[in-house]
Amino acid sequence: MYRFAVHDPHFLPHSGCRVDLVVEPGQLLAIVGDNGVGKTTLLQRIFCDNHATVGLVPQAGLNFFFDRTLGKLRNLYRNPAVNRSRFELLWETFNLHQKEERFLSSLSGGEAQALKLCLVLALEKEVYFLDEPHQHLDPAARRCVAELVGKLTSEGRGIVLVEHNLDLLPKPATVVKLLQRERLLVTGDSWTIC
Amino acid sequence: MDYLLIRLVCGFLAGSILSQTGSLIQLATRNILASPSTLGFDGFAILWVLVLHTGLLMVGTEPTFAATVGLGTILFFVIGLIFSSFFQRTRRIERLILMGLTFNLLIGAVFALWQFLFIAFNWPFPVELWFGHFRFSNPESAFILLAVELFLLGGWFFLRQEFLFLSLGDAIAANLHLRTRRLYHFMFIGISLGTFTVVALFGAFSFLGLVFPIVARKLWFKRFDLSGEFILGALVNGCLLMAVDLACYLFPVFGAEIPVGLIACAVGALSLILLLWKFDNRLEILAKK
Repeated sequence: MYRFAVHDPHFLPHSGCRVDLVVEPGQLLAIVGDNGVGKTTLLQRIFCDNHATVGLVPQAGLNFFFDRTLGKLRNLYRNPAVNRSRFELLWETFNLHQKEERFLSSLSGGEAQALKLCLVLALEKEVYFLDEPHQHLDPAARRCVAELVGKLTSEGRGIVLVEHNLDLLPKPATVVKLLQRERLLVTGDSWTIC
Repeated sequence: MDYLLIRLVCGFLAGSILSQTGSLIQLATRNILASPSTLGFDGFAILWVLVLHTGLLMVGTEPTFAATVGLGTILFFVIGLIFSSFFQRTRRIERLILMGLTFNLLIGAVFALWQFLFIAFNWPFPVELWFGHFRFSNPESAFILLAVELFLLGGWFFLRQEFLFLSLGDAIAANLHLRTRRLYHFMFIGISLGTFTVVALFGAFSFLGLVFPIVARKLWFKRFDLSGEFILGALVNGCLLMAVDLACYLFPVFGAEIPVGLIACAVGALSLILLLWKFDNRLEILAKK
């Protein structure tokens, strides 16, 4: 079980409470809520304090400095934290191996999103935070993401996913809803409120 | 012949250091308009040399090479550390560039006033500070430049993988649990020391730290990735500065040698204007996706 805590009176000021996020191994937790309620901020706050355990696929784009080809990036992405076999599998799953002559600056939104997922999900982490992972992706890529999430949860990894479209959620999932009111309302049992 | 050889070596090493400090600062800030000049490091180095010279003259001591470089090295090591910590907190690079350019304008005015006062007191004024040149090259200068170059190369060699992942963006760097604080400290200390050393020994070569990395990327070194820019680019830019200085030495104008820093400033300033004119967030160097 992984417990992540955010203790900051400035975070979610409209709720003004301490938030403890509990993720079980193999659990898929989906966070939904209105725009601006604090879903992305919550993930980023927890990620900042838990780099070793958590991998974050951010909502914002990757801020590369230095334009390279995808092929070059594939060869350079070697680190003890990278699961190379999973990286190669993801690379082919998202069809990036067919685009290795393309420069990073020329990638479309969907291609960049696929690259982001590939780079982060190849890392060996216990919990993954996916912030709107389906944005810009075509239906085939979305199915890949769903299969991938299923595979990771079956391996015992925890997944926390921010998503607006509940139809895209792989099942089974625990759904948690954030409401912009005076209190934090939950519909799952993974939150505690002080 | 010995003098010319030393002068060429100094020109080469200074060009390499300026190229490498420019590459480091652009990698750290993710902005191709960043350079030791645009962030005010040049101006600060000039100010320090002026302050030290004035202080030593006021106490009746001739300004010495050892005092200028020795004290300055310690000071600029600390400045690099402070700037690194400050930058990691703020990350407001466009604002820092604007402040740096304004600071340089201020230093220009201060420099002119200082020169006026030195003339009034009949003190020797280091006019070569503003437009650098290699006329006073000597073996000591070459050794100091070599030491700084070895520091930069050594740091690059040991941290090159981490630089690579840093260039993939903050999100990837954070996911990989990189020791970014250490990286930024090395980068800004290297930038600070490299800039100060060149300015203190030979004067300002404004904007070369801005232009040189772009030259390296526009050439074919990009295919060697960041190491190509840092190592091969530095070699080429060092040779470029050495060649321009040799031309200035061999072809004086009306009997006077044009300072190579003057040429650097003119070319660099025009390049900055051109970059600002063309600048947008979709330039090929900066890929935000």
